[in-house]
Amino acid sequence: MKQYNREERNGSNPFLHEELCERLNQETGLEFSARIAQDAPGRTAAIQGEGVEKNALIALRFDGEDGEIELTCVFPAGDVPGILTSRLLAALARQIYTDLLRELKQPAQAWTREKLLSAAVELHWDETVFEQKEAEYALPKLSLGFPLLIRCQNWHSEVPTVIENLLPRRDVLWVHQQEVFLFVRAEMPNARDLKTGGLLVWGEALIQQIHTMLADEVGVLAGVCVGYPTERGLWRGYQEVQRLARLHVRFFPGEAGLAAWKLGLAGLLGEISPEVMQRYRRETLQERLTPELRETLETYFAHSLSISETARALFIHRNTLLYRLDRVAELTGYNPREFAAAVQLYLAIWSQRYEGEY
Amino acid sequence: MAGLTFKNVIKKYAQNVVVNDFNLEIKDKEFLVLVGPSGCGKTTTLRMIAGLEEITSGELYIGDRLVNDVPPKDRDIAMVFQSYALYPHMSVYENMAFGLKLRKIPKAEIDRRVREAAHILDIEHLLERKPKALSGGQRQRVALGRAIVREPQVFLMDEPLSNLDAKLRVQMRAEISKLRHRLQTTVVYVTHDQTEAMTMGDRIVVMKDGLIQQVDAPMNLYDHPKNMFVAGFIGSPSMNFLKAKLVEEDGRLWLVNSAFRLPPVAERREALTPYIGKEIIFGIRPEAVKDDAPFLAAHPDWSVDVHVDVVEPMGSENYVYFSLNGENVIARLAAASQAKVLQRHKVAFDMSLARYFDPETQAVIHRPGYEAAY
Ligand SMILES: Nc1ncnc2c1ncn2[C@@H]1O[C@H](COP(=O)(O)OP(=O)(O)O)[C@@H](O)[C@H]1O
Ligand SMILES: [Mg+2]
Repeated sequence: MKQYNREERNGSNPFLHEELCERLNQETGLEFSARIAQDAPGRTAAIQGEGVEKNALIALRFDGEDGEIELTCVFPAGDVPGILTSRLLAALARQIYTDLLRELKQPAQAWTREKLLSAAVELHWDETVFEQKEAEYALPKLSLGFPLLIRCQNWHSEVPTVIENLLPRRDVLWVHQQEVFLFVRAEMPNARDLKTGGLLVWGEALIQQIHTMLADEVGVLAGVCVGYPTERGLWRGYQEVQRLARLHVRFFPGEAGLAAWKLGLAGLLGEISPEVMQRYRRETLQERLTPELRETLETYFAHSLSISETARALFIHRNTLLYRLDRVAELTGYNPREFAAAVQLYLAIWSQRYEGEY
Repeated sequence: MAGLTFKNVIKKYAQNVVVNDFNLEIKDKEFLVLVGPSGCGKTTTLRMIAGLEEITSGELYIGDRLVNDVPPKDRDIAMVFQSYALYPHMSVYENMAFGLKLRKIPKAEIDRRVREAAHILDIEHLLERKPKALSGGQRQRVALGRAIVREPQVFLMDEPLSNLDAKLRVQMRAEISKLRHRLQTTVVYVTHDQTEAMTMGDRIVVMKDGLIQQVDAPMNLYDHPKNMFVAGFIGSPSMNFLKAKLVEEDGRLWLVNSAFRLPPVAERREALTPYIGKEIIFGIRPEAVKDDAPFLAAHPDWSVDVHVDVVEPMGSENYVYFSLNGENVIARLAAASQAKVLQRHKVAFDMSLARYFDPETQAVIHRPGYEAAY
């Protein structure tokens, strides 16, 4: 969508015409351009042969708000699409024009953040356009809150009802396909909450609450992603939770959801393409670790490289463990008892676990 | 009311098998606990029962109805989770009624069920309150109430107590046990806490890596574990495992390693015979290690000299740590024990309580006196 200013609604509006053409072109696959007709009115829509050489010209005329509008389109004569008669085209153009006018005439108050989000997603706005619109439509200020995305694997018509009632304090609730995006107002943490982590703990608790309620109430399995609390940047918040949702599926599929501040390594490794990660794994592990050695390494890392605790957790003798670790060093060239090598192995094992490679 | 049957149920995500060949019959009105370390597939199993996850292969029955393809809302199941979410602007009454309203249950019926559940849970006096005005324990009860009013065939509970503080947890544990007797319905209860499992379950399923390790009555798991995993998982602190070689000398069997030489009791002889000359794993619970004078005097063969590393006074008893043959051992000794840090001490292993495991398969060798639960 092109950018209109409210002032332009009254005078002649080139943006309106441009948008009209764009939409008509999308519908028909043709290429119209528009102008306000200056010459004598009364000519009806027609496909005429007055074009350059063998090209044909389609001219559509109808009354607009600010004078007669003429839409023209030139194309190779042989290609005139059979079903697109000029009358049909004119009717289509008129319909689009009326719709556009209605859209523009709606009072500014009718623009909600939800509608803005719909438009943004549909029309691929970027952050600048979004923020411009937000300012333009003078939407009420956001309170301090969490951007939150609920992705449902299955759907039930009562999902929005449940969410509305579960989270009555919110600035945005936008349902889009099987996703619900919210901006949930943060409860002001009291002194006790602050001691236990305050706002973030509260935000994180939302994940389980929403996940649980949807599963229990309407049998819907949902992943819930929560972004950092903010007072502005609705669009950025939306982008953030979308990104979290992708990382959730990639690295933490078994969890109810993901909070931005719980990303840890996934935040880093999520930026790396799966192909690159896979190559790294192949180079590091040499595809040679048996399941037993892999489990040994995982347990060893989980017990902070403590030989005695790892041996105990695996129910093996410490010498057996030492033997196995030597074996890993032999097979991969990385000795897990040396810090730098252990880091390499850890990353490889970590990504293998989280990318469901076994 | 109904039981549940799993027949060869498998759940995979991509190539990743998270529940493997699950075969289990849960009886009508049974309180069954699934227990195992994090990631072993407990939640996935519950979700399959609830219909929130598809079953990759196998069959799942509720009562005698095959439910593989029945959507969650038609399964007649209620769930209770660790986070007890409530609708903040609704009263306790409305919170319990809401789910029934969504299901289009008539008003009078909703009222009957809500009042009955409130009575069972002893929260009748709270019905008009908003969640904000409730204590943690009361909220948890309302969450239970929301499940009870459904009058489901099966209750599923996924670690419902893990968010509560220790004191409240013990209290709610008793509460849920009491409740299930009043409700007379099937419960599948998930926890990673073996104490919770032991105190609540009629039967317990111990899981590891998506595989059932053992299904049994609580005391059977403790007394007759099927393998080292169950032996180590059930009981706190865990069973001690020590490697030793089994030898025969002067017509008697001996467990020998660099730290001790101990005789298995005579009843074990037959079962242990195939292991003569081989390594074997000797398991002994911390409570089967003793140091009182009469016991030491009665069983001079069972005693071992140890060097004490740590003494943790627990009030009624002491946890005493030492190492033998390079492996850590914990003993639960009476508070009166004279064991002192960094000093030598004499303890005795109660060999009548010893367990033996095959080092290859980790399976228990011989379970005398074992009777399967049912
Ligand atoms: N949707 C999913 N996609 C991929 N893997 C999953 C998914 N859900 C669970 N898992 C994996 O399955 C395993 C079992 O998870 P879960 O049933 O949650 O274990 P538990 O409840 O015993 O801790 C874990 O390794 C987990 O990462
Ligand atoms: Mg779980």
